[in-house]
Amino acid sequence: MLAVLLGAVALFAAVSIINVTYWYVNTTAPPVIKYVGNDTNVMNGTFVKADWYYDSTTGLNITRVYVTGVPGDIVNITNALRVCNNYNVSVNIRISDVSLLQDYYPGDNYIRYMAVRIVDPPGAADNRVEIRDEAAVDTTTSYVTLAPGQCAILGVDLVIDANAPYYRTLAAYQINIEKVPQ
Amino acid sequence: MRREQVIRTLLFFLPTLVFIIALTAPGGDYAFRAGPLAEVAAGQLPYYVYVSNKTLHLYSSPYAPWPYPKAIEVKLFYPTTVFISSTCGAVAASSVGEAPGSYSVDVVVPPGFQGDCWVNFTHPSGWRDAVLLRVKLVDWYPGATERAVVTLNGSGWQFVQVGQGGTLYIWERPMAQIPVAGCVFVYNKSVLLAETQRYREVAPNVIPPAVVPSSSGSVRYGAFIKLEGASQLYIYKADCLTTPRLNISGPPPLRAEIGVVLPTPTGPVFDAPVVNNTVTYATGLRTINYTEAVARIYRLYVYTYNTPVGLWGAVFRYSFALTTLLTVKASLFRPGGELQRVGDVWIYRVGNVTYWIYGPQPHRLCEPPCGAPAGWQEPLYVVVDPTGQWRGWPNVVAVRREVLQPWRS
Repeated sequence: MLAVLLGAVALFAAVSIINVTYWYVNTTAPPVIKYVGNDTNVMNGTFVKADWYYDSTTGLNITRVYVTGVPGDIVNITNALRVCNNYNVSVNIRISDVSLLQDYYPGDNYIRYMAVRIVDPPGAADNRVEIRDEAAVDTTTSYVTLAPGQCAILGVDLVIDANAPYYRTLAAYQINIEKVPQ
Repeated sequence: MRREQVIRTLLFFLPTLVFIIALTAPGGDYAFRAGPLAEVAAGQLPYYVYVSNKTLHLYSSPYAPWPYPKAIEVKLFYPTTVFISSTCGAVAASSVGEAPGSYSVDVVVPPGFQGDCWVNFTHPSGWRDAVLLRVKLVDWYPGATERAVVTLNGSGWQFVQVGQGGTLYIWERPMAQIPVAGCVFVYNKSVLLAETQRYREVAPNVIPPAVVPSSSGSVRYGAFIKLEGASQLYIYKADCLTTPRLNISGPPPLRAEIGVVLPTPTGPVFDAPVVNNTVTYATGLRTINYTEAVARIYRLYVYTYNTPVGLWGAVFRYSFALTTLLTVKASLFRPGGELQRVGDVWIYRVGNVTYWIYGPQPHRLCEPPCGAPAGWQEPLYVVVDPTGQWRGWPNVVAVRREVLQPWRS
């Protein structure tokens, strides 16, 4: 009986110790910084250019990359975007989560092929994400490691259907660059 | 008869006579006691009653009888019955007594009575006593000791609620904190029909709290008022009146674009909610439909309600997951038409129906794309007006507390 009572007391007894902590929320620079690639200088950025904008509703900085294809031709952009390690430790990066957000010509598959490749550093087991007929079929690359100060170079391959209209935006994709500091 | 026989007879007969009388008298040995039959005095009275000798300064109300339980105490010293009458119908009991002891007499002042009122205590023996009730008519709900006086400025029908914590809600939207919470609403010299409805938090520790109608939880009292300019609403700390439930049909189906456009590998999708739980609550004045729905990146808690005044309303609460997804359209609520900003509210006009919305922007197109919402969104309070008469939420101009004081001291 006593044991039962002691058990009941143990059930209802509780010791709580609260340790007060004080959290500062600080900021730091991002682990990688994106720069336009050298090909933005070709024809004053006709084939690739990039900028960023601030989304006031969510507070996000969003990088915007414009790539331009030529209907009926194959376009290889070998130096579209540079992603540089801004930390003094190694950073693993990869391209991930490719998805189609806006299709301006929903009834037509004008984007027959699009690949975003990690041109440098080489050696990734899967170094490209691929889009076929406007749908992403390979959405994530393998990681590549960037030493402090090292830059990755991303390239883009494009095949636009010959029937696509000129001087139009065909679609918009969300492509994330995932960064993992070591 | 010899003198000794007379003395013996008297000595035996007189005590026997006394004994027999004491035994057979209705009051037993009380038949030989001296003193008053009974005493009448003031009993247990609330603090707002001033008492002077046998004069009670009471209040009456235009809204209902004002009860003063155990207001008069009668101490009866004999086993008899004292008859009671009142010149204003303030005492329901016609008599007290039978056995000696203390008796309480309840006084209930009829509604609207003002002046002097005698409560008479009589006995066939000729004993009499009386208590004078001096009654003042006051614009106050009977029995309540305090009230909140809320000055509102607006027009049209308004649905007012008071939570137990003293929060004042208008069409479910918290508008002010008031010092007195209760179920009796007096507006424009009338006691309003009121409802009670419980609310619970769907998730703990959310700021502002994510509350939805429920069968358990904290109570809110609600009533409808029709405003025309600045008016005063009185809220008394008193229990609800028992009123029959109005026969209110359910709210109309919620036809609106609700969801977020999200990217996927194969193309954009509209992340619409899928209902997984619906409950209907019938209050005295409204019929409420509560729905929980889930989508890919958010959970939606929504309730719609119908009213007897031709308007209906809804409250939306979204809980979004934190994602990296971009969107080109975030539609928390879009019944159709163009979204307009008027003052601090959003308005849609669809045909003859106007949707008034207070809360975050209910519909947003992002060009270029923006990040999908994250976390708990502020509530969206919607009032739907098919009548064309409603002009928005009123302003809470002033709030004060009043305490009933004795009218004579």
